[in-house]
Amino acid sequence: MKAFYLFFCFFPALLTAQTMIQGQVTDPSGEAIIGANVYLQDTYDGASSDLDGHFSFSSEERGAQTLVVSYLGFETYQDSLTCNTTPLNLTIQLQPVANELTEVVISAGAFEASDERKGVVLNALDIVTTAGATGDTYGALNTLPGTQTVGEEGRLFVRGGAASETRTFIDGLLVQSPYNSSVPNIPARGRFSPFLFKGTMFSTGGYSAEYGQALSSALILNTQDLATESLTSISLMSVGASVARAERWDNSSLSVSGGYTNLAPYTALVKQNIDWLKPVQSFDGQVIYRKKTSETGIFKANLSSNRSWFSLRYPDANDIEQLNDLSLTNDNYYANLSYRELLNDKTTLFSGIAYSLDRDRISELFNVRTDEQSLQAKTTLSYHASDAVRLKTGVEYLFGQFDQRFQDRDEQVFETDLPEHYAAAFAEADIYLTKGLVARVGARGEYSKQVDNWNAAPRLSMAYKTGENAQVSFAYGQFYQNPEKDLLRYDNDLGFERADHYMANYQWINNNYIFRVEAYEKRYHNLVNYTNGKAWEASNSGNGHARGIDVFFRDRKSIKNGDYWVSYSFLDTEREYRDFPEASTPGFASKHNLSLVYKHWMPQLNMLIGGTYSFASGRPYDNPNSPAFNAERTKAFNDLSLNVSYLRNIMGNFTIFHFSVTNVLGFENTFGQRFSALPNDNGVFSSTAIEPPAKRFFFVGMFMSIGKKYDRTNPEN
Amino acid sequence: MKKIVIFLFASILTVSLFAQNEKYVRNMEKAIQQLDTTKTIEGLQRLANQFERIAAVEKTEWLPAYYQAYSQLQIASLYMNNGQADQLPTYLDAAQAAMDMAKKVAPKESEVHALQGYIYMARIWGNAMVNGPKFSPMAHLAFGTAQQLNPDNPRADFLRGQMYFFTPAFWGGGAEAAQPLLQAASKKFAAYEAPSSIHPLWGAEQNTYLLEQANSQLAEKK
Repeated sequence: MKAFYLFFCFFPALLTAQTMIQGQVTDPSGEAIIGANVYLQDTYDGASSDLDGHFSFSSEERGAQTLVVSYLGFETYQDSLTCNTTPLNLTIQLQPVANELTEVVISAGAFEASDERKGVVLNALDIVTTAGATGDTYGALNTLPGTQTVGEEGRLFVRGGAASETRTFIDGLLVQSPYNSSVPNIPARGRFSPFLFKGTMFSTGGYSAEYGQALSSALILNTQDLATESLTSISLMSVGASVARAERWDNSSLSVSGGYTNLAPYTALVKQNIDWLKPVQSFDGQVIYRKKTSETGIFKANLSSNRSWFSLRYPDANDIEQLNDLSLTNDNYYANLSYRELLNDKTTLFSGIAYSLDRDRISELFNVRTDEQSLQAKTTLSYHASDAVRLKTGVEYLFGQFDQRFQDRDEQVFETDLPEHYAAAFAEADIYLTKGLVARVGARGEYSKQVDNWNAAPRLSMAYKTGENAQVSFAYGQFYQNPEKDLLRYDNDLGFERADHYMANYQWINNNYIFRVEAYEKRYHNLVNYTNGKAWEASNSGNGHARGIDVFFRDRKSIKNGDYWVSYSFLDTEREYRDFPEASTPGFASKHNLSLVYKHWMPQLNMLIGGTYSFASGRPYDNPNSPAFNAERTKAFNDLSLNVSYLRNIMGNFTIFHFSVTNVLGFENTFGQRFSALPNDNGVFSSTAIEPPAKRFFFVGMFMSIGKKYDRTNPEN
Repeated sequence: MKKIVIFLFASILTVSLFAQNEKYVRNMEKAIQQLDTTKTIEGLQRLANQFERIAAVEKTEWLPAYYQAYSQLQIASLYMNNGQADQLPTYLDAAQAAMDMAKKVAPKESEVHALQGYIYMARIWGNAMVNGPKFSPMAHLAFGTAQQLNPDNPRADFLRGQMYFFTPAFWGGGAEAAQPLLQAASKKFAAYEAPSSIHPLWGAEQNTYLLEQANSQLAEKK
C-alpha cells in the first residue's frame, strides 16, 4: 500500500521530466522551410519552424514516439524517436509534392484550356472573349500557334495539314460533322457552343494513342458536368435569338435550349460581297442531361438537332462570270451518351456511344443529296498502377454509312454508297522514370473495312523537367486516316494516308507567364495521288512534308487588368498529291502566321474590351492561264478585330451586352482567284477574286441569366 | 481495500479525463486569444499548425479543425491584400481540407457551414470571372444552410452581407443588397452568447465597419 502511495507521489515528477526536441526543416536544396508543423503524433507537443527553419519544443512524453513534420506543398514526414529526457537535435528534409505547375507533363503539341487545372494555356472564358473569334471555338483556337488562317474556309488548318486532317472529339468520341454546312468559299463555323465545354485540349501533333483517324491534329472537348444552378438564359442577337432553361436537382440536371438564327435583317443592313437570295437561317434545339450515379460516377447525355438553309447567286463552275441560283439545306442530328465511374481506387471506366446524321441538299444546275451517318461506341479503362505507372487502354467500333446522289447539269446521275466498319484498340502507359522525367508509350491498331486495310501506329512522347518552371518535351508518332469520301467513291483500292510527326518543345510556365517554343517535322506518306490528273485512277503514291516553328507567349501580369498573348508560326510545306503535277505548297498553307490577342478588364466600368490582330502571309494558288503550277500568291491577310462586353444588372438579372466587329481598319482582304473550269472563246480561263462574305462583320448581342433570387430583404429566409 | 482501489482508479480516471479536457480548453483559449491579435502570415501559420496539432488529438471536436480552416483563410486573405492572388489556391485548399474534417465531425453545426461559405467566397477573390459562376451559388447555399441550422448565428448574415457588399452591382450585389443583412447581423451579434469560451465570436467589428460603409455609400447616393 505504501508503495502504491509512493508511486503516486512520484508520478507527477516522472511526468515533468521533459525531453527537448529541436532542429531544422529544409527543402531538398537546403533552403529553410518557414512555418512547418513539427509535432509528436497524438500529443499537443510541437512547434512551427521559424524564419531560419529552426524549431524547438519540449515534451513530457516518454518512450517511443512518432515525430510528424508537415508543410503545405510538401510530403508529410514521419519518423519514430525515443523520448528519454536526452535532448534531440534533428535535421529534417521535406520532399515537395508534385503539383500541376511544377510536375512534369507531356506538353509537346498540346494546348489545354481548362478552369480546373493550373498551368493551362487558356481557360474556358478565353474562348468566348477572344476578339475576332465571334464566339466560335475554332476561331479562338486559330489565335494559337500551329494554325494557319484560311479566311474563306473558317475551319482549322494545322501545321500544313488540310482542314479534314483535324478531327474533333466530344467526350472522347469522334464528331463526324463538327462544322455547319457550307459551300466552297463561304466560311463555316463550329456547330457547338463553347459554353458546353469545361475543358478543351487542342493538339497540334503527336497526340495520344487514344485518338486516331486524324493526320494532323485532334481537338478534344470535354463537356460540363452538372449545371451549377437552375437558370433561365435569354439571348437576343443581331442575327437571332435563343432561350435556355437549366434545372438542377441534388444529383442531376437537365438543360433544354432552342434558338433561331436569321441573317436576313443583318445582310440587308450591311453591304455584302455575296449576292444572297435567302441569307442563312437556322433552327436548333438541344437537350443536355446529367446524372451523378454515385459519389464518383457520372452519366452524360447530349442531344442536339439543327436545320439550316440558305440560297445565293453562285458562280458557274464552267464560266465563273455567270451566276446561278444555289441553295443548300442541311439537317443535323447528334447524340452523345457517356458514363464514367471509378471501379475502385485505381481503376476508372469510361464508356460512350455517339450517333450522328448529317443530311445535305444542294441544288444549282446540278443536284447533290448527301446522307452521312455514323454510330460509334468506345470503352476505355484507366489504371493507376502506382505513382510511377499509369495505364490506359480501350477499344472502339464505328459503323458509318455515306450515301450520295449527284445529278449533273446534263441530268446524268452518279451514286455513291460507302459503308464503313471501323474497329480500333489502343494501349498507353505513362511512366515516371524519375520525378522529373516522364515517358508516354502507346500504340494504336485500326482496321477499316472501307479501305479493307489495317494499321498499327506507335506513339511516343517524353518530357523532362529542366527547372522549377521549365521543361523540354519530345514526341513522335504515326498517324493514319482514311482518304476523304470524294476520293473513295471510285473503285481505286486506296489505302490509309499516313503522317509521321517528330517534335521538340520547350516550355516555361508559372501563374502569370507562359512561354513555349516548338519545332516540328511532319512527313506525309501514301497520300492519294491522281494518275495523269484523273481522280478515278488514283493511288497512294503521294507524299509530302511540313516543318516549322511555333512560338507562344502569354503574359497575365505586366499590365494591370490586362492580359495578352502572341502566337507566331513559321511553316515550310510541300506535297505531291491529288492533282498536283509536281511537289508544291498547297493553297491552304501560308509561311508566316501571327496573332496578337489582348484583353482588358475595366472594373469601374464593368467592361471587358478585347482586340485581336492577325496576319498571314500570302498563299499559293494556281493560275490555269500560266504554264507554271501554283505560281501565284494571294495578298497577305491582315485583320484587326475588337470586342466589348459590358456587364450589368437588369431587374436583378445578370446581363451581358456584347458588341464585336471584325476588320476595324478595313483591310482589303482577298483569298486568291476562282477560275472557270473551261476556257472562254478567247482560250482564257476567266477569273474572279475570292473575297470575304462582307468586308466587316458586326455583332450585337444581349445575354441575360435569370437565376434564383437569394432573398436579401428578409435575412430570415 | 478492493473498494479503495476501485475508488482510486475511478478518481484517477476522472481526474485525468478532466485534466485532458481542461488542457484542451486551455490550449484552445490561448490560441484563439492569439488569433485575434495575429496579423502576419508567419504568425497565422503558427496558429494554424497549433490548431492542426490539437485537431489531430481531439478527433471528436470540431472546433480545432474549424479554427485551423479559419487561420488558413486569414492567410489567404492577407496574401490577397498583398496583391499575391496566385497564393490563394494553396491556402484555400488547406482551409478546405480542414473544413472537410470539421464537417465530418459536426455536419449539423451552423458555424461550420458559415465558414464553408466564407471559403467558397474566397475562391471568387482570385478570379471572379472564372470562379464566380461556380462558387457564388455554392457560397449562398452554405450561408443558407448555416442560417437554417441556427437562425441566431450572426456570422451567417454577416458573411452573406459581406459577400453582397463586395459583389459588383451587375451580379446583383452592392451596398443596397448588403445593408439589410449587415443590420440583421448587427442585432444578432449584440444578442449572441457563445455556448463556451472557445466557440467562435469573431466578425462583430468587421460587420460594424461594413455596415457603416454601406450606410454612407447609400447616403451618398441620395
